[in-house]
Amino acid sequence: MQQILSLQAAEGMVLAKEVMTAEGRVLCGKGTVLTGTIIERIRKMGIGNITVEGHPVPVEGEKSLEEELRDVEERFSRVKHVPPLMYVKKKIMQRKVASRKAS
Amino acid sequence: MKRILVAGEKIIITQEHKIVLEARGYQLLLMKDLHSAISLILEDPPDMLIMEKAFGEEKAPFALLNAVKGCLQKTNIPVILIIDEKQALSGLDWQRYAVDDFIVSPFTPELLRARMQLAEARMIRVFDNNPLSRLPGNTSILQAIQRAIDSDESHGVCYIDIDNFKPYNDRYGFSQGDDVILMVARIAVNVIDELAREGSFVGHVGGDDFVFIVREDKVKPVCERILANFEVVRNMFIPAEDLKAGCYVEKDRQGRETVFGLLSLSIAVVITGSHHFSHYGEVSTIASEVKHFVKKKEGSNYMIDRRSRG
Amino acid sequence: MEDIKKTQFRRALREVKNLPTLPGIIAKLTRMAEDPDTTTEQMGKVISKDHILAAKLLKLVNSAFYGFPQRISSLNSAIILLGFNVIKSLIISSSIFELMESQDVELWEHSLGCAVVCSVLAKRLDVSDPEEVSTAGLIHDIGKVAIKMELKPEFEMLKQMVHDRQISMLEAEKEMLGIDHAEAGGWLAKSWNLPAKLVEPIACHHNPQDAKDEQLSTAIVHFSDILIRGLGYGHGDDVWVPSLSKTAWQLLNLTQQDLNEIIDEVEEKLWDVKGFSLEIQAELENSMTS
Repeated sequence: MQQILSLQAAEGMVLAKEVMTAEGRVLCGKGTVLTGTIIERIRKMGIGNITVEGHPVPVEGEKSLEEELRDVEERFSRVKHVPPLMYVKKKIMQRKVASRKAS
Repeated sequence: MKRILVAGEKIIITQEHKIVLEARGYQLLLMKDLHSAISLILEDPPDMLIMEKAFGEEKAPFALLNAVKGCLQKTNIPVILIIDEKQALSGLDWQRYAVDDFIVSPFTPELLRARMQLAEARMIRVFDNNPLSRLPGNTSILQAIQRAIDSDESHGVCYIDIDNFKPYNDRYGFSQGDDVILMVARIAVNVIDELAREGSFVGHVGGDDFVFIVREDKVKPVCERILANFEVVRNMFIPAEDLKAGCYVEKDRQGRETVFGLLSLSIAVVITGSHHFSHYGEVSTIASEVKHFVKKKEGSNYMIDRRSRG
Repeated sequence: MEDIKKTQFRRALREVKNLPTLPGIIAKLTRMAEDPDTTTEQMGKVISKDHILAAKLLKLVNSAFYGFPQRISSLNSAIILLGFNVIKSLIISSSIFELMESQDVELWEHSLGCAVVCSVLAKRLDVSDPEEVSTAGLIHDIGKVAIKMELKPEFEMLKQMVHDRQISMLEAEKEMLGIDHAEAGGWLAKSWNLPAKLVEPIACHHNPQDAKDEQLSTAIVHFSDILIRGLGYGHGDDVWVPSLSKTAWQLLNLTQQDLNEIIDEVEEKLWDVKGFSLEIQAELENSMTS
């Protein structure tokens, strides 16, 4: 599955997670096949992102997990002596790994 | 030194014009593009605007006019439009060209100077505006109320009053008090401009009292938005400690310590109905009764009197 | 010698007149301003997503002419007080970047991202006015734009220094200009009559221990700048997370659990930033083809 912007949604995509409104109501359930009307409703409700089955939206120059983790390493390379920031780094890396596993 | 913005693409003001006008104590700021003309109006407004009708692209003259006449603080900047003879003879839509005077080119520097003096004098004569808020004062207000009650359409005559304004002045000083008055004036004007531009009026009675008039169907949305906007902006005018406490203790007029609430607004509304009233005095009598009730309520409120429905 | 140079730079930065905005944002706002159904609130929402327009709006409402010097720190209030017509004029008078470089977009995303983190932190820490802190976060790097626009040759050299010597922009600025973008941003904010509540967090966002009156909001902006860079919203060749001030960290007093929740919440909200960024790019393409 892939998390995408509602702007990127297209007809025929299948929801991998339910879409919730800001008030916490379920707008469309998991497994819903997106139609033009549904996509428009999602956008009109101001819902920024949705999760769909597969990996339908190609991301230009998308980096591999290894590259992404190396980038994070590099960004934090000058604050290795600062424990709270090392914790932040660990969290960010864990999230990156988790998001890849889910897809 | 008066600063005059001259906006035009053709060279309408020659060197000769420039010398004559500058000798008379005018500083001319010549601008050929809309972008810099509007920047100047926004950031460092001139004392007068002289503009060519054929300035910039099609919509540019209106954008420039709107920058002046669409802002409360700038409505008293006179605008003179330069047109050619053909345009003067065929006539222009003066509702759209909301200018104060026009002059037909070509013209001599002396003629332009005379028109400029007239435009300045007329501004002072026509406006009975409040010097702080620049809103129309009492003469205009009474005329506007009379117009509303004479109209076939029903209007709401709405009196705004700032609650706890006197203790606010005592606590923070009248300079801050003036800022609050200006804040309320701007909120009211901006809301009415957006929600009820057609046939509306805003005036400043004096002190912390304002009057606005809108068509009956706009009364509710306008009052609600004014009160909501006031709630947002008010916090910028009260120090964090007092805001947290939600009130403060000050001496009242008899010198006793009294707890005062923070600033709020009360709006008393009288619906004119169709030809129900004949004189503006009747409206203000009912308004003061309504005001008495609405001021008793806690916080910001509005109240509508519908006796005219009878 | 050093002092003379510093004075020169200071003067040049004070001269800054019209900071340019991203063309996509101006295209979107121009289209909105022409639509009679657009509300002031809708325009305000878009302006609140741009660090340059937000700074200009605050400069206007706090200028002597409009009557509220050093008082208005909230964008919502600024919009309510200035009204639709003034905002429309502001958009017409805005200049845009002539040459749009990816760095300008990155700095915009960094600023908006920083505002998002500030808002999450401010709400969590029960700050009395979270919007104010988020506004400070939005415009915290305004000094960078001023340096780029007013000290063009120096800025090119700064970029080169960062690239060649692998030092941070902050270090390069201090070495070459004797001042840094935080200090420059602070002067600008002050000369524009912005309230002290905004000036200090901007001026001290790299040295929060120097803050005197607004310690908490300065600490929030400081840490938000760090966190958003950690999440990949930096700009240019300077990708590194800056160092964390001990004073600020102690003041924030965040636990590991807090950090977990903050990062989750921020990541969720950053989708809006990405979405808006795409929308702005699409807007630019539309405006060029139409």
